[in-house]
Amino acid sequence: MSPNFLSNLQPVFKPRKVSCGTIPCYGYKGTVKQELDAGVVTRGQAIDLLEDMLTIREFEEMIVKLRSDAYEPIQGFNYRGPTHVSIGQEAASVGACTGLAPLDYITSTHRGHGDSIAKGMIALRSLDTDALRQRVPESEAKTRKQLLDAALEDHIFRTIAELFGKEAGYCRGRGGGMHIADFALGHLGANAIVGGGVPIATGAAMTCRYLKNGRVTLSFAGDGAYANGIVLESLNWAAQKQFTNHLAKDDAFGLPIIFVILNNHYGMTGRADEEVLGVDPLARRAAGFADNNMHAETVNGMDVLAVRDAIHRASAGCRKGQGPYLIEVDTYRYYGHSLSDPRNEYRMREEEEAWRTVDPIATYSQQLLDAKILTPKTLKTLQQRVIDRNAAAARAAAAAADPDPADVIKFMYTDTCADKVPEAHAKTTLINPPPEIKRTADGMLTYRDAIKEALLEEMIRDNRVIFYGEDVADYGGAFKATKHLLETFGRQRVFNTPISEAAICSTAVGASMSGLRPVVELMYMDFALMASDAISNQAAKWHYMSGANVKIPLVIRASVGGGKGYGGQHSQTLESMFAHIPGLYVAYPSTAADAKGMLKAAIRDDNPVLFVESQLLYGEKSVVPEGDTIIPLGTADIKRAGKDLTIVTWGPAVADALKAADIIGTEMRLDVEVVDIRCLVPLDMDTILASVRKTGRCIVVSQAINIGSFTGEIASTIMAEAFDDLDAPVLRVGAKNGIAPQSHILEAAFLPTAADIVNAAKQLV
Amino acid sequence: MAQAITMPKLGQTAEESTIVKWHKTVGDKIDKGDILFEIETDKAVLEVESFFEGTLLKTFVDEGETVPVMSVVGYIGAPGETIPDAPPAAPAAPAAATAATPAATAKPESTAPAAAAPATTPQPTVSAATPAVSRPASAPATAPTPAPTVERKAISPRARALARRSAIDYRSIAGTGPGGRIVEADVRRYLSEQGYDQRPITPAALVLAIAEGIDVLSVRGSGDGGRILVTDIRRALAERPQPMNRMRSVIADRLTQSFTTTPHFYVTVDVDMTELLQLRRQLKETGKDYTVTVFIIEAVILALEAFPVVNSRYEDHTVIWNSHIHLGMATALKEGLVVPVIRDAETLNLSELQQQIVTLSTKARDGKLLPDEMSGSTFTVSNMGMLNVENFTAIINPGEGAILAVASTQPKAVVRDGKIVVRSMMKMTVSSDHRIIDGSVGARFINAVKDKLEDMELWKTLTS
Repeated sequence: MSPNFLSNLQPVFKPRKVSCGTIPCYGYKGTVKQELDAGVVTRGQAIDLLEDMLTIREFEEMIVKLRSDAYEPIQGFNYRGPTHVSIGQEAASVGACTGLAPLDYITSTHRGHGDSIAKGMIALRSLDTDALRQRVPESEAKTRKQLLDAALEDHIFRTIAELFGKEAGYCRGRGGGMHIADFALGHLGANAIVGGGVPIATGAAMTCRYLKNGRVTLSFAGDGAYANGIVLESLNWAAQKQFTNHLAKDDAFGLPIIFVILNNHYGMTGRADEEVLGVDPLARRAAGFADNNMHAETVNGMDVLAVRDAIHRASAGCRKGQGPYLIEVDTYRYYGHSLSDPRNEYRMREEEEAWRTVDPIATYSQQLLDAKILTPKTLKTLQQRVIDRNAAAARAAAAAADPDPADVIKFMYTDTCADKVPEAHAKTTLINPPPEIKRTADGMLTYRDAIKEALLEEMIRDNRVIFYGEDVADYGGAFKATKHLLETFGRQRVFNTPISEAAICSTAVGASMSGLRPVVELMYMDFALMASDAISNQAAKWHYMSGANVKIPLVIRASVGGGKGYGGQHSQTLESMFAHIPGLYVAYPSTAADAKGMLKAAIRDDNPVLFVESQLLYGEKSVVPEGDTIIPLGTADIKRAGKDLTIVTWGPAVADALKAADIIGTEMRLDVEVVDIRCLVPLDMDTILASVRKTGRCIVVSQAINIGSFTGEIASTIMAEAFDDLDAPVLRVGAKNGIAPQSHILEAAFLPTAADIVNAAKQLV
Repeated sequence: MAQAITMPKLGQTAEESTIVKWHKTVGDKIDKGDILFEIETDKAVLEVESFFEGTLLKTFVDEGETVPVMSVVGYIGAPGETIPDAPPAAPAAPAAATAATPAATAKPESTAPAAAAPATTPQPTVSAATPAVSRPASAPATAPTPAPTVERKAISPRARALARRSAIDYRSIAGTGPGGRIVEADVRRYLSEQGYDQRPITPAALVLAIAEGIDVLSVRGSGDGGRILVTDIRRALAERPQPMNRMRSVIADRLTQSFTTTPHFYVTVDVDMTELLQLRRQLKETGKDYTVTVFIIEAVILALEAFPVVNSRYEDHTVIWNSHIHLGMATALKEGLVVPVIRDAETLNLSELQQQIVTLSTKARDGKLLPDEMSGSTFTVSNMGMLNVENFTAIINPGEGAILAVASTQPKAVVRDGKIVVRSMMKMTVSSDHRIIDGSVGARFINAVKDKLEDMELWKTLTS
């Protein structure tokens, strides 16, 4: 039973015409009365829709008023923070979230207060008494209704508290309004990078598809985001045929994701309709990525029922494996990008007035009155209840405790790891027996096979570990480190991806947020720059920005091509750049044994790990223990003990350092100690300092160019911590401060060598 | 390989030195630390030890011969080794390559203040002008020459920490690291050469020595087996040279200048103060309270008027005359000595003079003298009458021609009219600059002062 697939593509150039199909627009004609009569919604749900829209508007108007100290309940409170209010878009948020099941996933945007409020209110209403009580354990409420009221007020309180930067906020004041999230209720985070949430949603949908948990993911993003590369990569990703065709075999299931374009017609101030885009409607984007146009349609975003209807149909389709879906929600932002934007530079007052005539709250309130679901009096009561609840929440939030300044970098990392695999995930079905990994008679393995052995062992141990990247499946990876993993685990867990490095890494963030432990591969580390938002702004930051409410157990394997004559875009040693990003672990093993032990540790760690490998090392052998040997991240290794001179290094430079150590020993009679840090982050400074304290001399070596290299960070820390132990300045050896050349003559001159290290040593004595 | 013996650079300004005596002759076996020869500099005769062991193979400089510092004066090596017939030329810039400050070549014995720089804390200045290691030694010639500072001795942090921990002074250690930097191995070698480990010290003494920066190698231990005790460190602390404060430094400089450049001669007289003291007591009873000092100063003023050359000064083969008498009164203070000046003293009557003396003395003791009140004196009186001294001589204040030293008035048996009687006698000594004042003039001047003090008619007139 082979999951492999050999293509047999024939040249067929027969003339034909391709239709891109039709995209229905504004097709919904329903009213609340009709929906009631049809039993689509209950009276209570119909009122909830209004209540949620009112709550959002009251919330956003609070922000507007706070800017001029006109919000009466907390007069005098100084709100400092963003003011990306979504007034006018309430029907989009509420309609979309009610179209989902209560605990489906969403991702949101910088203008995400409405999405967050709607998602929470709808999810809370679905919770049972016990779950509600867990949300508000202090509440004295007796009945479920009282508990729900308390939980709803608590939801508004925690949302406002987050905006106010309070410890009681959803993200403990670390995230703020632009990064608000409540993972417990399926809100995977607002994202302040335009388009940043779309691939995260795509990754979460991969989790839903893989775990077959029946959940759907909805991604909110604006018209502006739909011109961004990562969003277009995500659309292509979601529509891959391998999810639904014969390659998926019994697991064929379209990715359960709904791409919601919140088309409010302005990307900040850029006009979507006549200026910065070229399609109308924007839903046509889908036609570029899926033969079925992702069931794309455009709906009236000022009509909560129209939005709800479209999302409801889409989520039902997703649950049947018909995803992905793309729904354009045509809506309008009454205010500017933020309150500092007066709008009059780019649009007319008449335009705003026209949109206000179709105000989602006013029109829907009228429908409820017309349908006699509400009377003017009960409407007034509802409005007042919302006002009072928000006011109470705001007062509590304003009075809530600020975070302790001493905790400013708390939550950067978690100290947890998957040391125990839950029973449900400890069962692994192997499609075929794992490939035999042959050791030499003395127990040696290549670095390449050590990587493979680690992946095999970890994927067998924990079925949440999935592995994907470019050419990693049938082909076994550009450097053959993952050959036969596809055969062993099947395409659900090992698959090729489009050439979309940003999507590879970003979807992995979404997958790790929602329960998987993905390992992804970047063929060359240079391509990590294509994915730098995913790695630096998303993977690295979410644990902290969420106030430790989510973990990102993710490994990004990146291979350095330096030394092979591949030129400037395939040869860079870039780990220093990522070591500069807090929230990320950065590992770079130098031997096969380290590669295996560290990769296993990385996969089990609950922090995102950038795991750097070197193509120069794949063929290098060392004795690699069989079985479960873990090398904890952040432990340096003394590769050679000595007493006169310390060389601190990592990666392929370790071999150069060892060579240099021999030469220095012979020529200079100095006994060199080589410390392989193995991880840049976390850095085992204790081992480095102990060595330098012993020897008094230190050279820090890496294959990176010296400008901005992590070697400087180590050198400066040594000077600060062990100054009085130094007999000479700490020197650095790296590549020439330039761009990797193709010519092997030039590249030999470019990369650091053992001779460079020896020369540095001569300057120290 | 044969090692060159060089003429050490021992003094701050020494450019050359003379070998006065060889202790070894060619062919002698030499151990490290053996005295090779003695040299004479402008200040002293010093012994030069060998840094090397071997055999003295060659000497280039004979006893009595003077050569530039850093010149090679001989070779030590293994017998039979080939050595140059002639010494290599002395290096022009003997300083280490990194020391690009040619003026900064003072021997780093920083506890002695740099003579020309009377700074209050002349510790070894870390000169900001000392370039970083990477700066080429050939600094631009146009760079301003920094003020002479004590050379900074390059030492690695590790070596310095070891030196500090060991409580030793590293400045005499030769550095063998890059650019002559002292590295840990140099300190260890030095400690071993100095027998550091064989010099026991109590932990408390070591802690104190580290805290106070005492070089334990300079301390003799008084405990069992020569163990250095806390009391030894305390003694070393008490004996530690202290830089002078600014006032003392100025005094030192000025008096050295005066005493070494002015040919002094001294004339002493014995003044019979009996009657003047009697008159003073009588005046006091009538409410007129004069100090003895005011009488002495008035007598000096009157004598100076008679001998204007004593009120003049010498300058470059010229006599500088003064038409006024600005009289300095040497006044002892706790922290030194000041000389307040009574301006135009010859214009003041006795009570005005007394008033001035009181005012200036009070200001001097309170440290409130203005610069103008401490300068420009033409003659100085130093009165130690209250200090019970028989006699003393004073050093002429720079810028003056003479100074009068007044000793205590004491009852003495003297001969008057052929009888031995007890009289109140006071010795005075004038120190004079022989370039402008001859012995006879000095003698006549001081006798004029004496005569005035013994002339009761004069005082009755002046006090009436």
